[in-house]
Amino acid sequence: MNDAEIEQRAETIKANGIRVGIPVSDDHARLAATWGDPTLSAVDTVRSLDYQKHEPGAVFRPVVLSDDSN
Amino acid sequence: MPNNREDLAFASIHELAPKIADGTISPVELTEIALDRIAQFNDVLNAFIDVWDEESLSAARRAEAEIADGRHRGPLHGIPIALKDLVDVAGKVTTGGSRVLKNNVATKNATIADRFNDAGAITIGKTHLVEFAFGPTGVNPHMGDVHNPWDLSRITGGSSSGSGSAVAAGLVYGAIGSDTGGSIRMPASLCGIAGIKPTYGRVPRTGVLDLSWSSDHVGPMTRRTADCAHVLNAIAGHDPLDNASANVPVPDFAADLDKGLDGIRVGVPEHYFFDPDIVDPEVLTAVNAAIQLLDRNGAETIPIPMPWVGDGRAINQAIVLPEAVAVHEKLLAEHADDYTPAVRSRIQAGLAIPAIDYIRAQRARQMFAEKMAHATSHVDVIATPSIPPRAPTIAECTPSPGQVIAEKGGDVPLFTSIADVTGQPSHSVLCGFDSGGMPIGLMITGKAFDEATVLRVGHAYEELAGWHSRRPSLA
Repeated sequence: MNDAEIEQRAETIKANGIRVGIPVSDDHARLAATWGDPTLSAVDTVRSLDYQKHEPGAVFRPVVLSDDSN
Repeated sequence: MPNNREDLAFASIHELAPKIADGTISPVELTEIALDRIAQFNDVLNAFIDVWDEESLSAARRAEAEIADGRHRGPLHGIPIALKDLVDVAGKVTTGGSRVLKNNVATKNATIADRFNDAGAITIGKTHLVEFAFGPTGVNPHMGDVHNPWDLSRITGGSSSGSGSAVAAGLVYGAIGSDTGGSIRMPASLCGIAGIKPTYGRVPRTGVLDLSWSSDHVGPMTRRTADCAHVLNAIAGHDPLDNASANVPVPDFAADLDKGLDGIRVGVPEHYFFDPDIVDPEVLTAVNAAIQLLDRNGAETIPIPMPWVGDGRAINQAIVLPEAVAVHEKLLAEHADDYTPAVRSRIQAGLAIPAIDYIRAQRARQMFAEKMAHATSHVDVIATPSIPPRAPTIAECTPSPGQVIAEKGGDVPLFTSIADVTGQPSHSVLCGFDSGGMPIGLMITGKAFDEATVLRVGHAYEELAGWHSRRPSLA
């Protein structure tokens, strides 16, 4: 990953952090961008997989209250 | 029968339980031995973060009185155990290995803490961990690194670093670990003990700090596989307070331990797990010898093609990162500067993953789990190395200032994280030592909710190989 890509990813991390209320300094954004390289490679791998026929592994479970949980 | 204090310290729960039941061995004596060894060795190991001398001795006296009164509760009654410091105990601080939670006093017991109490175990304290259980090596710059009793300069593995070190050093008979990418099995392998990640949903996580909801597992770490079975018997079972808890029957995990290997089919993956470009040659030698030992003693070994299996690590990462940043949303907003820079950066890396990629990963996980189930349908377990490398040093696994990536350690979770994606039970057992005297782990992975077979194979292997009789020399 070159410096321009790291900077771009760091900006994304910082902007997304601000959007959700998590403070991300320039230094930490850059560190996170650097560490994120293998992680984003992982994302690229996942994108390449044949997952289209499958629902997500973690799905919503309806809530049924029992008498003692009311 | 153990005949001195060190022998007693390194005895197994399986061996001690009947002697405690018949009054031959005293829970108070065992607890005193554990406390003495913690006092003697914790300064060099840094395995424990909190030790409860008076409370544990009081609990041991109660256990002894109950047993003398004919009220023996089972194999854990009177046995000193420890909890990883992400498990809540009412009135005690749960730090999660972080300064962020230094004042986080729990108001209620975790479900598993209650279950240990119900089983009569003596909870002696809390063990150290990687900050927020997010790291594979055991390195923790803020709270102190945990040291491996086999070589103090080398990593324990993480994140259940203190549990691995404490059990291996004979400070305690069993400890709880958690496993999101391998955090039970990595330290079990590196510290030369047994550790099982049960099936997802088998053991309640209520009152246990989260890292990644859909991947977090809780399980036992002990010196012997049989002891994992006894601990699992105490802590497994449905908990309505845990959304992921599986409402399925719980067998006696110790019932099949002595059935041996006859009829057991052991799958040996043809891809990834034995790739010499990934795995250290000494690890390969030890694990291949272990598989041959299984084969010569009744098991049938069957090669299994799985060219896709390496994708599991990528799926694990693409799920854990976004979930971790969501778990830490509030703490990061309020205490970001109290995190270690490396863990803060790892978690914040999740902010760069779009929602659709997280959902893609969860869809890919379902696909992957189905592939694994089909590929292994004709075997009972698969056998692989637990981790690819030999134990690196703590220095090699410590990031330089301004870095989040260390020289070594990044490959430690490559194999363990696969079963965190599929949710299968997966167990690490000691299968030898490298030329530097460091332990090597054999990983036995089974079908969902079939921990009993995994433990049966692990126990049979231990009995055949006998590696467990070695002890680290700390004195």
